[in-house]
Order: sequence, then C-alpha cells, then structure tokens
Amino acid sequence: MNDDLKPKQKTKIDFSRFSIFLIVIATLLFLSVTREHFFTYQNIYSIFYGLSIEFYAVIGLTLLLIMGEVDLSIGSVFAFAGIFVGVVVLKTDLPIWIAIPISLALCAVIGFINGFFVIKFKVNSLMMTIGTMILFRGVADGLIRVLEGTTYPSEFRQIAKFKIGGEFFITIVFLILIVIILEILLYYNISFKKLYYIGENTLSAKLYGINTDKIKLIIFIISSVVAGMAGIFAAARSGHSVHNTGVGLEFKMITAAVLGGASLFGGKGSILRSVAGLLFLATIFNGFVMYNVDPVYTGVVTGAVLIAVIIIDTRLNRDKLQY
Amino acid sequence: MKKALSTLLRSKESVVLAIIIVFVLILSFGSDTFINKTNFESLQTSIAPSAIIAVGMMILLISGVFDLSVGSIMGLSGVVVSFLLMYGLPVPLAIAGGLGVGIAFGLFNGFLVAFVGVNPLIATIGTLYIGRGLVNALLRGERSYGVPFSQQSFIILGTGKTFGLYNMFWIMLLIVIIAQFVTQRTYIGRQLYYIGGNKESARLVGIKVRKIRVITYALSGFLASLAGLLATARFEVSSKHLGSNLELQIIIACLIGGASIAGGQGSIIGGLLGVMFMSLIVNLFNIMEISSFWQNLVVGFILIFVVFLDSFLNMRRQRKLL
Repeated sequence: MNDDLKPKQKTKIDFSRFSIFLIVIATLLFLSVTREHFFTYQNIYSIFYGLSIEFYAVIGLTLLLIMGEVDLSIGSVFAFAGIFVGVVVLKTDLPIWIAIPISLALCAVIGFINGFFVIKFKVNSLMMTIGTMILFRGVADGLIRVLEGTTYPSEFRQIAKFKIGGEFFITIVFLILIVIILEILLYYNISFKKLYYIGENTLSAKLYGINTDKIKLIIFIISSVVAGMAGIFAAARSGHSVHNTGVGLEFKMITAAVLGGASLFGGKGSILRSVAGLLFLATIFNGFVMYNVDPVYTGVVTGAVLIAVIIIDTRLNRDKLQY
Repeated sequence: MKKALSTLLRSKESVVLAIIIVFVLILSFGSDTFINKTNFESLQTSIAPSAIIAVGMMILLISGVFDLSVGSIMGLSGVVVSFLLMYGLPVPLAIAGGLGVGIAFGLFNGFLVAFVGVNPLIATIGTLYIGRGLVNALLRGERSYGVPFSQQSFIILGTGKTFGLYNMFWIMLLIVIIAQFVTQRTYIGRQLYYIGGNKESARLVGIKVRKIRVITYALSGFLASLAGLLATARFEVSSKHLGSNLELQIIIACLIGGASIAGGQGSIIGGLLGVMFMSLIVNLFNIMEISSFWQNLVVGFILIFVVFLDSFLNMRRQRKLL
C-alpha cells in the first residue's frame, strides 16, 4: 500500500505529500528575498502564463504514470499538433475552428496507436512510445518544411492570448480549473481511483473486474490529445514553429511528475503535485534570468539543482526506495 | 543440439542479425557506393564509439537500470582530453585525465542511484545537464570551434589502422568479446541477470546489489569517456556537439538488440548488432541521399515493428507453455 491509497488519517500529517510544495515555496521565498524584481505581479504572471500553456502535457503523463505506463511521444505530438494547425490554416481555406479539432483528432489517433499496441500486444509502453516519438518527429519535421518559417495568421495567434474580462488570460483560468477538478476527482471519484489500483497491481485489478485495457486505452488517447492541446497553445503563443519544438519535452514532464512524487513503477502521483513540480522547474529557469546566469552555465546549474532537490526529497520522505 | 539451435534461431539477436544481413545484401546489390573502401572505413568509425558505449549501457540494462548521461560524458571527456593535450601534458596523463572524468561521473551516478535512492532517470538526466553544461562552458568564445592538438601518439588511436581495420574498431571488438565472456560465462556476469530479474531476491541471496550498481555505472562512464577519446582522436579536434542526443540512440540500439527496460534480458552481442543496425540505416539513407525526415519515419517504424515482433513472439511462446 502506498500513500495515495491509504484512507485519510486526520491525526497524523503525512509529510511526504507536501514536500514538493515546501520546495516550491522555499524557492519562491529565496528568489523573492534575494532578487527585488522577482516577486512582481508581471514576473509571477509570466511564470504562470508559461505554465498554463505547458501543463496540459504533464496531466496525461501523470495519469499514465499512476497506472505504471509512460508516454515519451508527447514532445513529438506537441510539435506535430501545433505545426499541423499552422499548415492547415496557412495552406488551405479551412478556418481555425475546424483545423484545431482535426489536429486533436489526429493526436487521438496517435494515442490510440500507442494504447492499442500496449494493451493488445503487451508491448512495453516506453519502447512503443520511443517508436512513435521518432516517427512523429519525422512527420513534424516534414510538415515544418511546408511552413518555410512563415508566421501564423493572427486568428491562430489570438487563441493563446484570449483574456477574460480583459484581465486574466483564459489559459490561466483553465489551468486553475482543470487542476482543481482533476485533483478532486483523483481523490474522491471511484473511476479515477481505479488508476491507482491498476498501477499497484494490474493483474489483481483485472481480477477484481476493472476493465484495465479500456481504461489504459482511454488514458493513452487523453495523453496524446492534451499534449496536442499544449502544442497548439504553444504554437499560437510563439506565433511560429521551429525545427526543435518540443524536443526534450517528455523528459521535462517526467522530471516534473517525479518531482511531484510520481513513480515510474506506477501507483503514485497526483496532478496538483505534478503541476507543482512543473512550477518548480519554471521558477528555477526564471531564477536563472533573475540572477543573470550566463546561458552557458544554465545546463550545469539545472543539473545540480535537480540532483540536489531530488536528494533532499528522497531523504526527507517516501518509503526508502532502492534501485 | 536441435533444441539449442531452435532457441538460437528464435532469440532476438538472430532476428536482428537476419535483418542486418538483408540490409547488407540490399545495399551491396542496390548501390555501387556501399562496397567501397571509404564507406567501410566510415562505417567502422561510426560503429566503434557507439558500440563501446552500448556495452556499458547493455550491462546496466541487463541489471535493470540505464544511464542517460553517456552522451554528455562522451562529449566532456573529449573536451577535457583535448584541453590537457593543448596544455602540453604527456599523452598517457591526458588520456588518464579524460577517462578519469568519465569514471568520476559514473561513480557519482552510481552513488546517487544505489546509495541515495534517486530514480535512475532523474539522476542521469541531472548529470546529463551538468556534463553538457560543462562542455558548453569550456568551449565558449574563441574556443567554440574546438580545441586543436597535434600529439601524433594520441591521434593514432583514432586514425591509425592495424591489419586493415581501424585501431578503435579493434578496441571495440576486444571490449565486446571480454564483456560478452564475462556476462555469459562468469559468476560476476550472471549476478547482473539475477539483479535485473529480481533485485530483492538477488539481495536476499547475498548479492551486493549496491556495490554492483556503483561499479556498473562507473564502467558505463569509463566506456563513454573512452568512446569520447577515440572519437576526438579521430576528428583531431574537440567538438561541442560530440555525443549530443546519443543516449537515446544507444538505448534504442540496445532495445533492438534484445534488451528490455524491465531488466534481466539482453546480451552484449545483441547491443553490438543493434548499433550496427542503426549505423547501417543511417548509412543507407546517406548513400541514397534521402533526407532525415524519412530517416526518422523509417527508424520509428522499425523500432515499433521490432518491439511488436518481440511481444508477439513472447505471447505465442507463453500460449504454448500453457
């Protein structure tokens, strides 16, 4: 049994659930105290705006990690979805509100391919999705040659900049709503609880009558579709797509989810903590800018911070895992 | 004898070997440039460093972990050795320095994974960033085009030939043969399969899992830095991009060659075959002058096909057992 399956205890506070939040708060405090321009409305807003575009990808991945599966193709799907919408809008007469559903439907097909092979032929999801990652990276690179570096039309660029009441970016509102809804569902909804059972022990979940294959297939499709949504928002935000869009995104998202307590062996993880992990990474990168770290050193510092945090995190809490 | 032959034919290595043979046949009949001295030379020098790294990766994969930092270690060792040579250090000392970098990174990875309990993925992504970051930091400004050196006794490692084959190819063959022997025929090697098969029970029967983790990660770092040294000697200049994005290619090659992410499976020869397979595909595309767009599509398709075939054969085998 792990933490996420235990019935809630009111007397004892489980420290491990909050470690990522403590780390995020500590980082925010540290940067606020040491850098005067960090804790300004503008800067915090920009961190959250960036987060609200990328966080879709971590949602699908976290749901998969809870079930003990993984999807490495999200970076390629991210690139493919954005570029595909751009190509359709630029090269055909179709309006944007038709192009986006087509693109997301194609992403759903990619997710279906991943899930179908994993459940029907028992292919390891890591290997399967490395395959689709390379495959759709190829497709995205092929499509990008059609674009030839053109900037997307303004109707496409507007979708990431839509504001509610002229003040709040709609993407940030989505971020808050989606995280809250999914977190509540994962805690209280029986269908979402099934994900943890599958991750703990797929065979016994099956014996208890859970339709593991169907659930896995659905989550694989969701993972691709949300990665595609993130890709479309990101393409709309930057106004154009470049050759290496989304390269390494899958590792960033896995890092965020693992920082948030997910395990590659399944049965653990939560949406809120994964997004907090992503927020931590975004804050660190923002901190580099605040400290004027020479870009050549960002790699070294990222690696060092990552290792330091994960050491502290592993030492502070969780059952002592050994690899 | 018949049974042994049939297991051999059904092993994943023989499937890959068959595909490689088909590839070579297609290439030799379909193209005039394949059977050609220059092409064979470039194949040797592209296979050798990757295969050396694949040996270390395969040993890790057999025991159930992996190392994403190999590409960065390869690049960093190449840069360090070229700096040491540029400052005029004797060649053996410079080589020791380059290899030391790899061993240090490997020991650090192993320590993090085995003693601190950090997830191998996160630990080695961390060292990947650190290594690549150090390469970028060392090679900036006027050094961004690389650090030149001129010690012939070092360059000969990469460019020299013995009996018609490159020195680095001989080194690679030697390492593969030793590693294959050790993993298949000695108790030390068999322990890796025990750990990969079931880590907890391996611990219970008295195998020192942590110690072996540290040693195998150090070995992987050592081999990655050796590959970096050989490649640097071959190009006669250090490069910023040496080894970038190599880690995934090596893991894919090992998976194609019969390893499994779950551990407990695979062989060193399989890793070599996987690397040869990947190099031949790239070679095929280069000879036929097909763009990298198609290259990715085909590599993706082949990987999906190979893992599908593997699972399919596995399922059929299990059905026969029942």
